[in-house]
Amino acid sequence: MITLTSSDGVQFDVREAVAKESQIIRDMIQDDCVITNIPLANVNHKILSIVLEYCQMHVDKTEMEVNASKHQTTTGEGSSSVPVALKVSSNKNLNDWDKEFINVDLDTLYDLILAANYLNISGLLNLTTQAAADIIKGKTTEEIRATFNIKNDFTPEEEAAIRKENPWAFE
Amino acid sequence: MAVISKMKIMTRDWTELNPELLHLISKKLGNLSNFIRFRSVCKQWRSAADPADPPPQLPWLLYPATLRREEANTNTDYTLYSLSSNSSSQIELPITYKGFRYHNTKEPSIGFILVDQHKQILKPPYQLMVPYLFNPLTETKIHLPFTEVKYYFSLYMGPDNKSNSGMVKSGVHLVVYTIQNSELEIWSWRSDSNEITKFKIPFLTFVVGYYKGKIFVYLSETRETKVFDMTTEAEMNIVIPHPVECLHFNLFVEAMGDLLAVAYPHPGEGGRDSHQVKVYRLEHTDVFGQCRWIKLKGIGERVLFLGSPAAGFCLSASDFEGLRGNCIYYMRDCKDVNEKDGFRHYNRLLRYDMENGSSEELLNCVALSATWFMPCLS
Repeated sequence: MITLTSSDGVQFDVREAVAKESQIIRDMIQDDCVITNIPLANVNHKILSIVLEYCQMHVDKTEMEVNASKHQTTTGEGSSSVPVALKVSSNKNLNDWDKEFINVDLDTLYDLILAANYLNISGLLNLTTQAAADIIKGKTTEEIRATFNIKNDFTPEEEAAIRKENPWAFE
Repeated sequence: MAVISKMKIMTRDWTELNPELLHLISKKLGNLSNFIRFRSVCKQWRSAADPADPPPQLPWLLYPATLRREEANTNTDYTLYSLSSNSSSQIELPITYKGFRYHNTKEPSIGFILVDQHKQILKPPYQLMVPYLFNPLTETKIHLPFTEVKYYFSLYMGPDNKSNSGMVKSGVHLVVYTIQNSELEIWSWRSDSNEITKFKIPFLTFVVGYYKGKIFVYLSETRETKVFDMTTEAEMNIVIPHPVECLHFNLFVEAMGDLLAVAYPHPGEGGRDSHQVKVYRLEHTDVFGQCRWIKLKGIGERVLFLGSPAAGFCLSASDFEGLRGNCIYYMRDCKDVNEKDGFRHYNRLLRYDMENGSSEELLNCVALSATWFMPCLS
């Protein structure tokens, strides 16, 4: 077990495999195997608990798949198509789970992007940035600004020039 | 709880997000129009998204928005069809329909199409064809030193392998053919030297391909493919037997190191395979001493984009999320008569899946010619 301490002092005891979903934690543990307590200065307990929920789920799923395929090889029964089918269905479940998991408010999404980047969890970084992109997709410039509460800092002349570059994208 | 969390006032400033993370988001926006609007939100977002590095794009189709002949001199509206979003948008280009024909870029990364524009002049021959390379999204032009009154069809447009420009930006090599006195003339132009070399091929055909420095011409009368060497400018002593089951080749396309010949379906012909798009790969020795066509059951992860007039290019499905491999996108022209418009001539965009051997219609476009191009903002 490894203890992760959030920026606001809350401790989380997690399995090494779960913590190792994070590349920076993986590197730390490899450098010095006696480390058991890791303080995370940039992640508060609310966000860390969400991040760990993600890591836990992905580790569990991976372990389930490994066990399932081990079972297949040891019993030696069935064709090779069985584990593939299993993998496909479990990937589908995981994608559905990810989709549900990332259905959060924008402040949380923002914090999760920063946390995924800081902890270097590529799956989570991919998921969170894709979620942000999906919110932007199909919206007009004004709708994007309203959604993300962004102030237009272009002058009217600059804005007109930008639209003139690719008018077809603004229709 | 859910309601409360949605009502919560946002405190995070999305303009302050690390530019690298903004860039990461911008790469996941799919269609280029989302990327362009992302860049129009605010200064921080704009500077984080480099126009030279947009999300990976599937090719777009470009064609005139109407076919009315009386408007040919004035109309400058075109339709852009985006395959990734299956949607069309209108674009105005500084080119009228008259004499405007365009040709697929063979090299997707270049983002240019070859355009011929008629120019009226007072002296004979009264009109000139002014060809240039054109990026429809940035309206960037590269002028070509082609001065004769001809139609040019592109055979190859891509990075110049002989370019001396170094790593920064390689020059462009363009190979076109043109028809002169019932003969083909091959023109090769390199942007570095701005020089043109030409040679004649004493045959007339529109099924012409460029592959490994050789020109392949398909002759429908004799049903044979002849090969000419660009360097020696001479016919090579090669006879490539035509596949028995194939009526005619419609076009040649270079696809990830192979030369492919494509034959479109002939539904009127009947028969078991009359709805098949047939694809043949040229099997050859190093110096082309021996060549033959091998019929392919599938093209693997390759996806062909074939336009009208006959030209096209190939992409790998593994490079584009959501692109199905083993497929051919192609155009077929159709004629029908209805009460309102009378006689109508139009083009259909179809996707042929080599796996199940059937074509699916994706788009019905008014124009007689349509070209694929890779959208490029820089």
